Amino acid sequence: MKVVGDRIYLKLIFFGTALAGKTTALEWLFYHAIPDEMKLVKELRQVKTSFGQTLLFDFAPIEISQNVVTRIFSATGQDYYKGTRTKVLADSDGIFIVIDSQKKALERNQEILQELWKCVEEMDNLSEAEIVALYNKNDLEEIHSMEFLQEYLGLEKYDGFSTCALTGDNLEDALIAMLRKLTTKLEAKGFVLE
Amino acid sequence: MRGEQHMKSISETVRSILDSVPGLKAAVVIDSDGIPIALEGDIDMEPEDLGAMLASAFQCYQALGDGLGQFYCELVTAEFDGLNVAQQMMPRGSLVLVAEKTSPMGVIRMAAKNGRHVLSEAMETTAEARKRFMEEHKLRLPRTTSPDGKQKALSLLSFLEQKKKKG
Repeated sequence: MKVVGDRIYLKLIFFGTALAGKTTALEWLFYHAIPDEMKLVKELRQVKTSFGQTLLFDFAPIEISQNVVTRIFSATGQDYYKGTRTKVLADSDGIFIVIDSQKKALERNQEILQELWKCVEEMDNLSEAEIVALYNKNDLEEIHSMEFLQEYLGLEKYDGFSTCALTGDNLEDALIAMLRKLTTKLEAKGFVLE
Repeated sequence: MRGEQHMKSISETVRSILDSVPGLKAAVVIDSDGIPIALEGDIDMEPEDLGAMLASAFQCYQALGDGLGQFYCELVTAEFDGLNVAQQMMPRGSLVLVAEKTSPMGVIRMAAKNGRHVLSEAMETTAEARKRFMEEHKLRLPRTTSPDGKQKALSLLSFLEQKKKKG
């Protein structure tokens, strides 16, 4: 969190394996859930590979209240670019962990979570970030249940939502949950949200 | 006897840089996380968007430098088909100059380096330019009517919760 002048800047990030649905979730929220008046850009800023996956990040700054700007990033999930992933993760106030619910993705989910917890340990302030888990791709056939994934991946203590980023299923609820956590935290620190 | 020193605001300083170098289209100051502090001139990007891209690019070069055994990245330049850009590291952010293609890159680079010294001093002691910049870039948020009949800005959380209630 940063205070610049009379504004508070927060940072939210979507973090997860390649093709988990991070960019799709951010796109859905940006174009379907967030009113235009709150967007500080007309389109998502996307730095992509030649084959359309996130290379560096996707980014959108949103004015979530009169004096609070939330900068929302979606990190790359590809291991080839993982050096940049930790840079994007730094100083996050909220993390959406996007879990690919497909059975074949279980091991990759574990690996990315190990990377995340390592960053949480090593990076200043990241341990204070609010976390919400999205168990994505609930529209597919060969998936694990949210309950199974929560337990297997050790995410029971975090709010979780079974989502479909393509249709937006439960994404608004997940965003509401995250915003509530951030609002509570800001108010506890004495910031008045207008 | 040392002459009297006048502290300029950040915006005034950035404006004077812009005016003093021929061919400059815009001068931007961002903090280390890409939050825009000052922007003067004509640039076709939203300030927050520009700041995020610039900070990320600079951080990538800094990481490259770390890998190459370097201590810090001083300056990054980019030559596009129609523009030249120089990004100069400062203690808590960077100064970015955007110039016409016809402006020699060497001139832009020198201007960025010189600008750093002047700005570093201004940024230490001046806060009002930041505040003014933030005010100028505030958007009109969706409004709601409170019980006393007054219009007030709606937060995103309130907006989404109300939307959910309406079903």
